[in-house]
Amino acid sequence: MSNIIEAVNISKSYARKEALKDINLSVPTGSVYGLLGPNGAGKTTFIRILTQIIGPDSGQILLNGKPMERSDIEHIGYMPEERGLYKKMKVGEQVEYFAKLKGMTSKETTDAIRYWFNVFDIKDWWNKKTDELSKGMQQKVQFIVTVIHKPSLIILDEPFSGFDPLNAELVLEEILKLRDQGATIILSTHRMESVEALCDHIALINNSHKVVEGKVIDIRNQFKENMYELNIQAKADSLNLSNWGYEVHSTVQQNDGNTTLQFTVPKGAASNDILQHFIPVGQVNSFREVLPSINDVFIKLVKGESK
Amino acid sequence: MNKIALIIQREYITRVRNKTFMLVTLLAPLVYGLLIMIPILTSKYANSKKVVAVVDESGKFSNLSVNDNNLVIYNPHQTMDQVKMAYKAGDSDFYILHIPQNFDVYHPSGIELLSRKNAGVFFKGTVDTVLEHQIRNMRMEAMHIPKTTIDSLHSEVDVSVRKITDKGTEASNSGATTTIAIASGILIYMFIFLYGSMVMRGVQEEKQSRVVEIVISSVKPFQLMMGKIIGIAMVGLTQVLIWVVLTFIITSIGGQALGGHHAAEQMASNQGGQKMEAMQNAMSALSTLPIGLIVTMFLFYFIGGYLIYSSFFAAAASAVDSQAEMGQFVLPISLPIIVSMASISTIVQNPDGPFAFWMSMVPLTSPIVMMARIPFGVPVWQLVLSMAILIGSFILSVWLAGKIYRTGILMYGKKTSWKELGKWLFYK
Repeated sequence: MSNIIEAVNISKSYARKEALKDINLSVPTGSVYGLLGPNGAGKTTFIRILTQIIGPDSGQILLNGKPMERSDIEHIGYMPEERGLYKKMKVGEQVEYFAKLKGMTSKETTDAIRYWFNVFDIKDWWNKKTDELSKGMQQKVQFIVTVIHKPSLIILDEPFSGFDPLNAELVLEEILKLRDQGATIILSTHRMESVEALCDHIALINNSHKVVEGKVIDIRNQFKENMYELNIQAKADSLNLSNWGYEVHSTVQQNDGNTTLQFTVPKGAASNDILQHFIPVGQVNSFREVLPSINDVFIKLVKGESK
Repeated sequence: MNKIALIIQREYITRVRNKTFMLVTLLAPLVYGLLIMIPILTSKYANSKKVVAVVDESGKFSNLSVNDNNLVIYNPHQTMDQVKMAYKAGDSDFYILHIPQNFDVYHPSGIELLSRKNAGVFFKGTVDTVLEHQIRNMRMEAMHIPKTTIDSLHSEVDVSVRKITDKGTEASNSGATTTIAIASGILIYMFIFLYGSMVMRGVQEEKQSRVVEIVISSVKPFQLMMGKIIGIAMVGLTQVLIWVVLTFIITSIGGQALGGHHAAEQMASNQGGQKMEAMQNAMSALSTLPIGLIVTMFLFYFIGGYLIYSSFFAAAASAVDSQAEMGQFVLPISLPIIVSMASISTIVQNPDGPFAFWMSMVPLTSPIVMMARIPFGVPVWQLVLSMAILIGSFILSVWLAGKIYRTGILMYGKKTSWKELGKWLFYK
């Protein structure tokens, strides 16, 4: 898979603070790429460098293998986390203005506005002033402004904040639809459930440098802790896991006589061997390896870094 | 369309379509027109004829008589009671000047001006002057100076000021020139502040509403800043043009509605023939002023001064989070323009002096000071030098402001110091 974006040794400092330190990232074309990190980690600085709002102190950004140029900005759609609109402008004129700033012609703009206003069911908003809209309604307009010019790279910083669950779902569907149409999405968010639901790849930035990058499933495997979950028809006290060197994390004794437990096994233990221990004890209803969630990985890495 | 042109268009259209803008644009000339017409109105209605009857118990003012359009002083040779009877029947602009029996020319006191309403201070002054003049004549007569000699002592002088040119001499009027000089300076001062603060508010609104980050992901911060500055300059020029046209229309319509010609004639004849002549001289001097040059230079210095100051205001506004924090930057930025405004009266007294020269070269003061000098005539080399410095300076100031702006506009939650601004100049 080719990479739409390659960040090579990007560093950036503000006065006394180092915002990014020698960052290397590769964003695969057509992926949904999660950019994660605690507040102040340097995500926004990295996005601003990508969108050419600011320049790096050193390093370069390659777009489809070539150094990024000013004109490439028209192929990027960016929705910042802290976003607003011109309050006194009418919704239609506002979207038209931003579309034209992205280099669209009047005809293209009109067609695109018609399409998106239809998708979000806001056809009668054209003449509404922005300050008459609720925050959620304004978010819809901001999303349209971001994607109206059919950018090949869409950067969304906390795209779901301010949306009710229904509209968040609608936006999520549209993001996936854009991905299916060939766009690459970079998603910066703190909402780990949306990272799990959407992202194929992630990168975690902490304290100005990259901590981890890769496919979501690979990272979860990389940080797995040999934990398993078992549901067995047996009483909890009949299971003597310490005999086998397993460490129990949680036990739930159900009324129907079944027990669910989570435990870790010594490194290198094979799942078939583990299962063999339980078969003589009782009927095994389910048995699976528990991979850490991205949330767990995030917390572990950030806490580990801070220590 | 070019991106900067799109920004200019948005800035222009959203402002010009704004209801407050329309209201101010249309009402300001009305207010201005009223300000011009109030003196005409007051001269027409306030200067009604005042009649003063003299009750002279001393017998020394029997020949006191004044008769012009505004004032009649006469001696009806009646007693106080008789005059009071007439007073009751008369209108409210009727006055009685009572001169007591024991009136002494060398110790003039005890004279009273009686009326149903308060006599205005100016009217009292007029009566005082008439009496002083009369008493002076009486004293001179007492010294046996003949009346013809007394009359021949009085003279009115009005020096005719003429300017030496290559073609000879032409009429000039230092009063008219000074008025034009001061008015030009004041207008530049007003416009720079008016439209400069519009830029400042615009930048702050964009920053506070957080729309700026969306915009600058499409255009360079410099383009956004310049688009705003140029867009608002065009709003300013439109507004000024509308004001000029409307003021002209309103004052000419107003003038005619008030019987302008008649009123003017009346005013002129009130002030006497020599003053009428002085006015005509002023008008002819006005026509000899280099109006074309003044208007062209006004536009140049307005735009030049506005560009410098509005770029400073934009940079300052980008660096702060709220209006309250603007104070620390607004005063130092405005100081040169306030100083030039304060020194304008010194400049018009000595428009060719070294102070005026240097102030009209320094780009932060030249827009006001040079405009105050131009009506008096400025050597071409000075004008060209001042313009060149101004052009160079606004390119530099816009460039510096752009550097501060692109960093400041994205900076939140931090109180910015001057030192910090200096650092931003060197960010990549």
